[in-house]
Amino acid sequence: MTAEFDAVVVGAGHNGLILGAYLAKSGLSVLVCENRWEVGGSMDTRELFPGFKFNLHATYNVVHGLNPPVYRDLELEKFGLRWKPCIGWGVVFGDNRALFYYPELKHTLKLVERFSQNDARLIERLFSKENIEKYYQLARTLFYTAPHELENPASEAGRIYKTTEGYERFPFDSTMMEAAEENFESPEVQTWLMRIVEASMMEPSESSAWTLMWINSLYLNLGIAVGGTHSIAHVLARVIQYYGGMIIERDPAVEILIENERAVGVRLKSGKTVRARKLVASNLNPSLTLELIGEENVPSEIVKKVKNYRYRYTSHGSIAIALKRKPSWKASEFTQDVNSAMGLSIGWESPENFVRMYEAHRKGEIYKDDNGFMAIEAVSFLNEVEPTLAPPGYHVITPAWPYFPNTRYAGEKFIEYMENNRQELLEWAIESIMDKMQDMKRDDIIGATIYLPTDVEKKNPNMYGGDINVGTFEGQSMWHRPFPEWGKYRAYPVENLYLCGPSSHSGGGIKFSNGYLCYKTIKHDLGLGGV
Amino acid sequence: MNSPDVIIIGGGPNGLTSGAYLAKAGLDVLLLESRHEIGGGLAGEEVTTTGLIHNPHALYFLLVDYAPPYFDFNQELAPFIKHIYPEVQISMVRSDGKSLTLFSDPEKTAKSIEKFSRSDSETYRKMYGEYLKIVEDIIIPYTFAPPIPPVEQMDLLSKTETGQNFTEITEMTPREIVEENFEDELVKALFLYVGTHPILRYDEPLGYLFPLYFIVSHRMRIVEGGTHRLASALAKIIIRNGGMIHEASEVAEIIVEDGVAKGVRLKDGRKIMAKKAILSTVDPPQTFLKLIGEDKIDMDLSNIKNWEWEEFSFFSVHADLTEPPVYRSDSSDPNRALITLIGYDSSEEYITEMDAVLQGKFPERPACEVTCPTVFDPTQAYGQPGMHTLRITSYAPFELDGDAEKWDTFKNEAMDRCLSVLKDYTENMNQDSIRYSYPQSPLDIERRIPSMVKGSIKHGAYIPFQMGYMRPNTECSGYRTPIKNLYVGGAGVYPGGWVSFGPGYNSANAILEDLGVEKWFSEPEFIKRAKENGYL
Repeated sequence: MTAEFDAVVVGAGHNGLILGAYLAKSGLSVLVCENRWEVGGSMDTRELFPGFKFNLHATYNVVHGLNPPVYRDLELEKFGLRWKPCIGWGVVFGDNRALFYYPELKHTLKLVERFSQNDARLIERLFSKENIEKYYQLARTLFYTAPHELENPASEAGRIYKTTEGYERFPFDSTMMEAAEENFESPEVQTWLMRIVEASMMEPSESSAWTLMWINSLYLNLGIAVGGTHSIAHVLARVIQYYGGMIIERDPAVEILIENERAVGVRLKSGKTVRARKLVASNLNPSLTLELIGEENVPSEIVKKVKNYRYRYTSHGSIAIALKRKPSWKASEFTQDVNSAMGLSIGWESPENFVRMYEAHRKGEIYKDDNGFMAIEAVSFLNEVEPTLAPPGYHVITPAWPYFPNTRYAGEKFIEYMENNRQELLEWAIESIMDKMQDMKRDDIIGATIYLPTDVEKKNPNMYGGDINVGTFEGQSMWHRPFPEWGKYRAYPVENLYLCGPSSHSGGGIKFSNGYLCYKTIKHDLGLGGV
Repeated sequence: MNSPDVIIIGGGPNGLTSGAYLAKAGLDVLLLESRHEIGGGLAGEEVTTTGLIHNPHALYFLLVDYAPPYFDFNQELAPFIKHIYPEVQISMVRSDGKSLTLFSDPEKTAKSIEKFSRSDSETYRKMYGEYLKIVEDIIIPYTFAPPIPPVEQMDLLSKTETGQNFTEITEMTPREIVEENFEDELVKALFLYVGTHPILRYDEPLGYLFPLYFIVSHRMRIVEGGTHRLASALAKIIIRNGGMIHEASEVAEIIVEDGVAKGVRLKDGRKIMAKKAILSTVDPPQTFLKLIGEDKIDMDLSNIKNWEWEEFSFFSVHADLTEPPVYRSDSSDPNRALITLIGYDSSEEYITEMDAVLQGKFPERPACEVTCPTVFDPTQAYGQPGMHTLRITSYAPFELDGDAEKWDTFKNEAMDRCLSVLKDYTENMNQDSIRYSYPQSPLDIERRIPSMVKGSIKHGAYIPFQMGYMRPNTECSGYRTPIKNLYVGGAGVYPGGWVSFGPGYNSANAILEDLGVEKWFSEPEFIKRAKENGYL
């Protein structure tokens, strides 16, 4: 059986759906095929305990303040997407003090003052209205400019950056740790700012100093999708269907058909052949894309580059806890407001921890904090912001992402250890959270479960070893992501084959970016009208 | 936002079905769902470990041969929906290992019954023929048409032999029908299960449902890839035809002005007006008492105010298995059955069990309905190839010893009881083969789907006062209400729940007729025939 479409998109995650929606809205006939039974990839909200819903992956939309072009182009609001503002993001330290963002800078500064007056003054200057505008302009340049529009967005971003006050202090060639330690006197402030950059998937060894303040500024304007992150997937899928596109779940592409060095379609797992008149796009990582293309269809140096593509040493899991009552953070003795802050990381004490964690993950070991607890990112009682996530009167802890080493690099033995110690790892995570809570009792827990990096990969085969960024940024960013030949959303030398996934610029996370940039590239190449 | 023509409240099987019909008829439809995901009972969740789909509600579908949406949307559903029809439908394992099997093929079933009783086998053959005629001539047409007042219906039925046969059993209880017809204890137990498993009391005088359950128990299908596929496919029809679906959109009020339904106010404050109609598919008390309010409706509300929820619900266990169960049995039928029944050898045991549940107890050794869909459909283990998903369901009270909250602390114990029955009846179910298990209590059912109050999976008990022309009451069972432009079409409305698609299909017909919109689909053959035969 053969079907024919203008475009076939392989993978219905965030970027595949965005690309599919743009193409469909441009009037192309589109098929998006997906391996899983439900679209969305990391936009995954699950009712793990009846009435209690959990965002296992993506939760905080950090580009919300940038008002991504996708919102407007695809009329996401009309298709049912709603956002809620969200406050927080910070760190609860071992001594039960805490640092996090408030919706208003002056409140944030007051909190910072309790750690360091000087640091508060510096942050105030760096987060001046004028600077923040520039940070956002810089971020938009990085996330929403296509290769044909700007040969080097990084240098344009750099040019904007040079006009901000941060430039002198956080130069391009230092690491975020060097910059944080040089400029801020409180180790807690350093840790807090670095934690947020790390959450954007930078590794401490990278020359990331220049990102420190602008990435932090994005966290001043977080958005939470009403109904859970999965609703973004619903909305994007609806746009595709509304404009006549087709999404087929449970039937992944097993081969990208190539004739005369051009991509002409795909073969699906069910045996169907789908011809693509104009293009095929892959949302998959380089290895999986190459598997579909076949090594014989690309030069050996490409095969080599695909094999050398490096994933992050750090992977993520997820903890989901359903609660009868909401506990108080111990840190509420330090500041009451911590109880309404979202996205609080535990297990990070000082900049030195970042290095220790990185080293542990490189060695394939689980990092423990100074007191033997697990490092968990973004512990949140999200139903406070989005009440539909829990039955009235009940609570959820979601998200809460424990940090683990990349399981592929850690090896088979480590994977076996994790699979066999699911319950123990869950207990350890619960203890790590309970240690930071004032009055959380075992009896309060109606249900709890852990989702390991191996589960991440089972669900999202893209995420090798549980790397949610699908490849490190170190040496693999901008038009060099995944590597120069495949760096501008085109899979050299195969014609009509595009790459829209997180292994292209701008990497992982829900940024409404890669799929959009891939679309712009296709639009440019094919001379499409439309959106 | 622009006002749609029709607002549908609730995205379960009925809301989706109605929405698909209306959207394809050219109406601008907006469907509002309170949960984060559409589907209602058409649910799928990876509740255990990743890569294994579990079906916490509907799992097997009984009306695939008859329900009009399957035919009318054949083209739209074809790319997404494939049904799997297991040859062995139900197999019951007796504690001594003997098994009794209901096959899709009645001849094979008769042979299986013959091993237990020659006379029961003959009775079964006779019943099958008689019931098939009743179901196809009468019950199916009645399911997909508005209800008829009882007196009028009796009159229509009295004119044919099939109609008279049907009338004879109308007021009998499932237990009476089984006792009257069968002699072997296991055979009785099997057919008592068949006649009551959609959460029906064995002593409820609703005999007219018996032929339907009897026949469709030979016709059960599962949806390849899991039940939720059906919800996704129906939603695609709505969107493809220009309709819209909003999740996490709980309706707080139906705005009624001067006796006309104008729009809805959502819990989050949004107000959306409807140009032509509002269809509510949530449970009747919610529609009339909570969303509208007593003072806004001029109607006898006694049936709604005294609405009875189902007296019991079910408890289920979802488990991840390394291999499918192998039963200790003289036959391999139970291993390849869609449903395997274990835990009781006689109708008396089954009744004792149900009595305990009716008294608020969860039995020490529950009677279990076991399904392992991956035997037929490995794709439900999409992320863990080779693994299997298992579901055990057992009747359970909502209020456990008088307190529903007790389920939160008791459900692990209840799960162990079910698993212990499973282990006893199988050769290979043990700690190694059961990798992970997950309990779902009746309280969990209510928490997941708010219209299933007190775990009422059909939005309200099947009792004579809430059935037929009286579901939810005489004024509204025909989908129209005393409020202009307001329609009802959920499981709490005729013909009821259990994914019949009846309320959704029938309410769409009523709305299209009232709005004078041409129907794009034709009248089902069985309706035409029923009209010719004088049943409609």
